[in-house]
Amino acid sequence: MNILELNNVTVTLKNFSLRNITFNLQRGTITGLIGANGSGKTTLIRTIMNLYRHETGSIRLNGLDNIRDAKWFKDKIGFVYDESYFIENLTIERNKNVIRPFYSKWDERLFSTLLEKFALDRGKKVKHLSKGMKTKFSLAVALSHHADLLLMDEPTSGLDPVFRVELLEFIAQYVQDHPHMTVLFSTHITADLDRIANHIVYMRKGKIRLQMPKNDLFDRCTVIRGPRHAIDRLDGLNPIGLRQTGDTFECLVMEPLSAEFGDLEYIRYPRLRLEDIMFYLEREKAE
Amino acid sequence: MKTIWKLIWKDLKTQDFKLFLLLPLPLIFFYAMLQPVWQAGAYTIVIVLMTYFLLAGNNHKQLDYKFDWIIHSLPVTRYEMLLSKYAMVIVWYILSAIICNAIGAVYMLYNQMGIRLSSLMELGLSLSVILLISGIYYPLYYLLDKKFLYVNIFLFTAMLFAGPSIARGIPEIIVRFPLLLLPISVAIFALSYRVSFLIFNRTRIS
Repeated sequence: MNILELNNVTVTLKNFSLRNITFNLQRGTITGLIGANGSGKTTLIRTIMNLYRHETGSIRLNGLDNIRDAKWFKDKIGFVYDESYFIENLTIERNKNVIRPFYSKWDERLFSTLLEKFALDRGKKVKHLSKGMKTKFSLAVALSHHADLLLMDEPTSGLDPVFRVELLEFIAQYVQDHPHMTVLFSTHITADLDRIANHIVYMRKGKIRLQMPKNDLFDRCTVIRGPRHAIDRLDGLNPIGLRQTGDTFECLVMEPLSAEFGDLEYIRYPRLRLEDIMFYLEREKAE
Repeated sequence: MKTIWKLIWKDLKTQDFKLFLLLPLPLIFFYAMLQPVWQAGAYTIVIVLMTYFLLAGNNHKQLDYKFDWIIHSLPVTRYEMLLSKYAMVIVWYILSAIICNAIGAVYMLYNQMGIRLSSLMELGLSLSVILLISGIYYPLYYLLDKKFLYVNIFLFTAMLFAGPSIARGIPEIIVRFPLLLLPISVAIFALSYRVSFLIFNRTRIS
C-alpha cells in the first residue's frame, strides 16, 4: 500500500529544477534517495515539506495533499535535516517545549525514552551538543509524535563511522518494531543504504532515473570487465558507463545476461555495492 | 485559532528577554536628557523603539538559526504563520508599553520627578506608529528574507536618531490628529498583511 505518492511534480528554482517527479513509497519500507551532489535530493525533500512550492503535479500522504491539507500532512511527518535548525542557545527541553504543542499525537514518554536511549541531557543547550548529538535530538523529536513518514535529508553526513552505524541500526530496528513507519532517506553515502534500505530511488539532474527495490537492483546489475577485443560480446546488452582503458573495458549492465563468457569478469552482489552502481550511472552522465 | 496562540507562545518562548529588558534603560536615559520633550512624546518614541526591537530581534534570531525551517516543517499553514507574526506586533507593543512605563516610573521616582505614566493619547499614538512601521517592515521582511537584516539595522538607527525630532512634533500631532492616525495605521497594517501574504505564499524558504 502506498503511503506517499508524488505525481508529475515540477519545481523551478533559480538555477535548478525538478522535472516530472513521479514515485511512490510503500508503507513500512526504507527508501534510499541517492544521487550526486546537486542532483535534487534535498530539493525534493524540501518540496515534500512544502518549503518549496511545486508548480505542477501533486504530493499526497495517505491521500492528504501537501498544500491543501498542509497541517494534517505535516502532522504525520517526522523530519531530520542535514543540519540542526533548533535555537542554539535554548536547552533541549526548551526547544522541545516550543515544538511539542504543534503535534496532535506528541508522546512525552516516548520522547523521554529516546532521550535516555541517545544519552541526551534535557538541560543541555543545543549549542553545546556535538553534530551527532544534534542529529539524535532531531531524530528524537521526529519520532516522538508517531509520524507515519520519516523524512531524513543527509542525516549521516559529517558523522563519524561509529555514530553513523549506531544511528542506522537504530533506524532499521525502529522501523522493524513500528511497521506503520516509512522512511525516505537521502544520502550520498550509499554504504548507509547498503545496510538498511529496501528501495532505491536514484536522481540525476533533477529527474528520477531509476527506482526499484534494492534486491531487484542488485539482481539485475552486473559489472562486466574484460579485454578490449571482447567488447563485441556486449552487443544488445545496453552497457552503462562503458570505459575503455588500454587493453581493457568495463561497464555496468542492468539486464539479465543470456550467456556468460569465460574471458570476461562478471561482478555481482555482494561484491557489487550500491556505490559501484551509482559510480557507473554517474559516469554515463559524464560521458 | 489554537495554532495562532501556539505560534505566539513560540515567539515569546524564543525571545531573548534578558537582552531586551536592558534596552529601555539607555533609551529612557537618552530621551530623559531632553527634559522638555520627555513630558510630551518620549514615552511614545521609547515604546515604538522597544516594540520594533523586540519584533525585529525575534524575527531575525529565528532567521539566523534557520529556526523558521523547523516552524515551516511543523503542522502549521503559511496563513497561520503570517497571521501570528502580525498578531505578535500587538503582543510586543503591549509588553513594551508595560516595560517602558515601569522603567520610566522607576527612573522618574529615582530622580524625584514625580511619577507620570504614558497617557492614552501617547499609547494610541505609539500604537499607530508601530502599526505603520510594521506595515512597512513585514512585506520587506518576506520579500528580502535575510538581506533585510541590513535594511533593518539602517531603519533602526534612523529611527533612533530621528526620535528626538519626532518627539518634539508629537504634542502637535496629538492635538491636531487625535483620532485620525489610528484608523489610517490600522488600514495600512491590514493592507500590509494582504501584501505580505501574497509574497509569503509564493516564497521558498531558504
